[in-house]
Amino acid sequence: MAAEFVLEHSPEEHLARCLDRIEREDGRINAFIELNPRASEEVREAPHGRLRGMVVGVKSNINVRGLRATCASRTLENYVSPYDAVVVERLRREGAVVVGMTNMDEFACGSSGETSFFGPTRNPVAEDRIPGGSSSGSAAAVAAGFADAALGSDTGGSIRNPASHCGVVGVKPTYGLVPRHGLIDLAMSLDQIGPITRDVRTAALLLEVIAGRSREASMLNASPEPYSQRLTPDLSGVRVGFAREFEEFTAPEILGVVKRSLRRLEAQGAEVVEVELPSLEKALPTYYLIVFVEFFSATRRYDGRRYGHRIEEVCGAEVLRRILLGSYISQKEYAGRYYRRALQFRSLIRRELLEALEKVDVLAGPTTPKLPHRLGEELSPLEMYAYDLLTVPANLAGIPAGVVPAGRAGGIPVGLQVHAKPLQEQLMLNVMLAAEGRE
Amino acid sequence: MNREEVKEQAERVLRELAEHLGEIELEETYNVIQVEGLREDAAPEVDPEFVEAALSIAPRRDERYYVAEAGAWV
Amino acid sequence: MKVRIGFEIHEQLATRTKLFCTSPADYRDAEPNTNVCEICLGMPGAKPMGVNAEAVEGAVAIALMLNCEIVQEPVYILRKHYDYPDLPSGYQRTSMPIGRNGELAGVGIWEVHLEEDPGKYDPVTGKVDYNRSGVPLVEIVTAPDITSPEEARAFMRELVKVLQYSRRVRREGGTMRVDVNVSIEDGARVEIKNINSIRGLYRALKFEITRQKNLRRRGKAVRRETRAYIEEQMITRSMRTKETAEDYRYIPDPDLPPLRITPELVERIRRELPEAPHQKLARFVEQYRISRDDAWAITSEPEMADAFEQVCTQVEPARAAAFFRHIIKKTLNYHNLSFAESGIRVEDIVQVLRAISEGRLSQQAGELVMRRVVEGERAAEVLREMSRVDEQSLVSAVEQAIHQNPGAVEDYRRGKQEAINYLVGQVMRITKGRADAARALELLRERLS
Repeated sequence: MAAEFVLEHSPEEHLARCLDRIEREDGRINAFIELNPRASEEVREAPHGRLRGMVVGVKSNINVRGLRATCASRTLENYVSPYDAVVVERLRREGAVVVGMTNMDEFACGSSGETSFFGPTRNPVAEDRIPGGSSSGSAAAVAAGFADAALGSDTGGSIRNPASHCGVVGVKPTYGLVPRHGLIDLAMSLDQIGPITRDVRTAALLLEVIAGRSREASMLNASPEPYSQRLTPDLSGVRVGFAREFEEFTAPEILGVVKRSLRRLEAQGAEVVEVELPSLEKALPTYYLIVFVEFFSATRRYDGRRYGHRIEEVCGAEVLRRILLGSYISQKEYAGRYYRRALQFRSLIRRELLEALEKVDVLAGPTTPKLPHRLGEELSPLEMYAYDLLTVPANLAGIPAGVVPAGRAGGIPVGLQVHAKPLQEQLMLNVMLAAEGRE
Repeated sequence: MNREEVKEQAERVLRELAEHLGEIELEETYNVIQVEGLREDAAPEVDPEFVEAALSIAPRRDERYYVAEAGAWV
Repeated sequence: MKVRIGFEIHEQLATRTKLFCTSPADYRDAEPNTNVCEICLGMPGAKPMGVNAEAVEGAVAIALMLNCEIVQEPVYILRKHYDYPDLPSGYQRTSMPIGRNGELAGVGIWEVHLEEDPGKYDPVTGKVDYNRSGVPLVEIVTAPDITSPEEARAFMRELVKVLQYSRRVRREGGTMRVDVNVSIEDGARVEIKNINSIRGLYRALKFEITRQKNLRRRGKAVRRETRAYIEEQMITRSMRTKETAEDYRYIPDPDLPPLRITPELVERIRRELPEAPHQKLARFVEQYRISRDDAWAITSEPEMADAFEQVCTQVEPARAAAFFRHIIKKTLNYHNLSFAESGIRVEDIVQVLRAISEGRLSQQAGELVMRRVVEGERAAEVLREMSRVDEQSLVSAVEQAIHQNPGAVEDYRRGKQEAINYLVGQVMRITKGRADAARALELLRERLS
């Protein structure tokens, strides 16, 4: 079992090929906001670690020293980061090279990749469609072969949603497993950094490099595990839960692909069991009310004094909407009606998910309720939020969830989403490996 | 979209989300996983390279000081 | 008219690193904006490290010394949002109460909690220095139990003493900030900010109470507002005329798990708690058989009390106590210094006291020696210098030596140079060693040439 990244060519040659593809195709796809001008130097000096030569795109809300962490917003268009995020340090230490900063929804506020100040990203697999978001550029870069892997962030599905739409693998780890120091906040109690890759094995390898406690006030005292070495597609004795409510909310063409994928898990020895998540429909309002308040708090530093622009004066409509709502509902007199009530529902949803995971080992189901819309199609805010219905529960409960390509519906990729108990990343990755299969 | 339109739309969004949520009586969950959050006080550290890089991105400064005005965001 | 006064007192805790990062907590000698990292600068993406355990223990120790109950439930760190250039993230982190329901000198202590200091902003030049940003502060909130500026002053002196005794706060001075709430006869509560000395506190209260009483006499209502104390003019001035209180939109900081202050930790801190000022005072009276007034003066500062105990191992306590209370305190007051700042050492005090008891030094001269010690000299040198005989006595000692030793004088005159050393020795014998030997030699040569 390989515990390191394997290349066909020399690291220099491999990077050159990636850069060449970016140059030819990214004008159309728009996966990157900025390329790393020192990438070629860095690849020559890269240490001989487990990721030696791996070309990685980094979402523009993660600090990479010397590159701009714009969050795809005019607010931070001039913010050249003076420090490396913990995950970036860890990637570099193992020999990976940051090729550039990827496009995203502005401040990760979006599920389509269309709200970037630097223009929307195309889905490389179905170019008239959105790639999903908010880690739109990260998923697109991996799907288009611009990079071997990318880092994304996932607050309510921002890794899993574009991974599903673009036909790649995406993992949102247990809350707190991967240090967030250096990740620019959307909602601090929900945000997690995770890998986006073309296969499960690479995702496992990347995760074991970036996971593990750092000096930040981590919510978790976990050590990294050698996931990639312990990967196995053998699911004998594994109970896979499928919630009845998934069917209620999901488009039939997606359900068809997901169910075929579940058959594949059964073929690997798993037992598929039906479970209930009666409060699933409460997850979306719960999630958004929490996001508004935490995002409002997180954006107070963009007051125009240190980074050039005051956020409310230069941001797009969705970001402004969230700030206004966060400001409103965090006022003393309204906090009980909205924010605190959302936190109470969070307790309910978390309890329900953990109870369901007492009866089974993992939950498997669809990632998004609908297929990605056509680029430029106008959606109301609530229509946009509806994309997140099936991804927000994992963040609210703090549990790990990963997406693996399950097949296509009308030529558009569909991902199978796997949830596991806190810190059961290994089992989740094993199920994803078993489901992995190219059609 | 102008600020007024965004505000109107925001009000609609909030109304619908709140209606959808309904009533509940439960303890709030702030942190999904709880651990010890203390750190031993030890010898302090400063990274001079960081200090210079951080200062260099300040939009306004006077030698080693940031320059700012009092104002309000709300 | 019944006056009610309450305080919010902020003091920096003496830790090595800041509350949420490893930047130095001591920024006094640092160039502006060098004592910082991405965390205390609140840069995009920066996350707090775990809470500095030393700061938490400091807050617990201070709460215990103020007779508080330590809270059992998880202590959340809240974000208090407001917009000011000294606050790099737009919110200040402040803990929920760590101690509650305490009492000091008859004044209720509502709560003790931790928070982070903001940076320093100069509204005139617009300059911001974030070196101070993130330094741990303890905040003490009192009940409005104080009824006059005199009481306020006495209470603050006592509180400062307790904080010093805790040995958990910065001793450099000048870091304490006090916000004061004043109301008269259940009228509106006025908050006064920007007070940083006990004298300032007293003057601000004097002014503010007069102002409020005058308003009432003229039949006008006192507005609920925040006022700033203007040190130079000794007045308070309205800062914020907003009718409604500012909404800080408090939320528990999602980046930080709540603190759990275990009974074991509280017990350990309680066991290691330094003696409180009133405990030390009682012990001094009992152990050293000195008066309450002497003990009160000596225990006004922990460092002075420590020095007293060391002096008492070598000098009789009653004499030491009188010297501390009358001579040392007076000298410190004269120079407006604390004992800790004064540079006085135990050996200085012991040497002066010995000189006095042996009759080599008068009480008044003793005070003079202490003054010179405070000015940077050591007592031993000063005593040696002071005890030298004056020129006139030296001249007569020289005369006496010449008169009594004709043989040596003869030898010297015949060219035997060593003979003069013998004569210098005789001068030293006559003056009991208090002569300046070089000057004696000079005088002998003059006289014999």
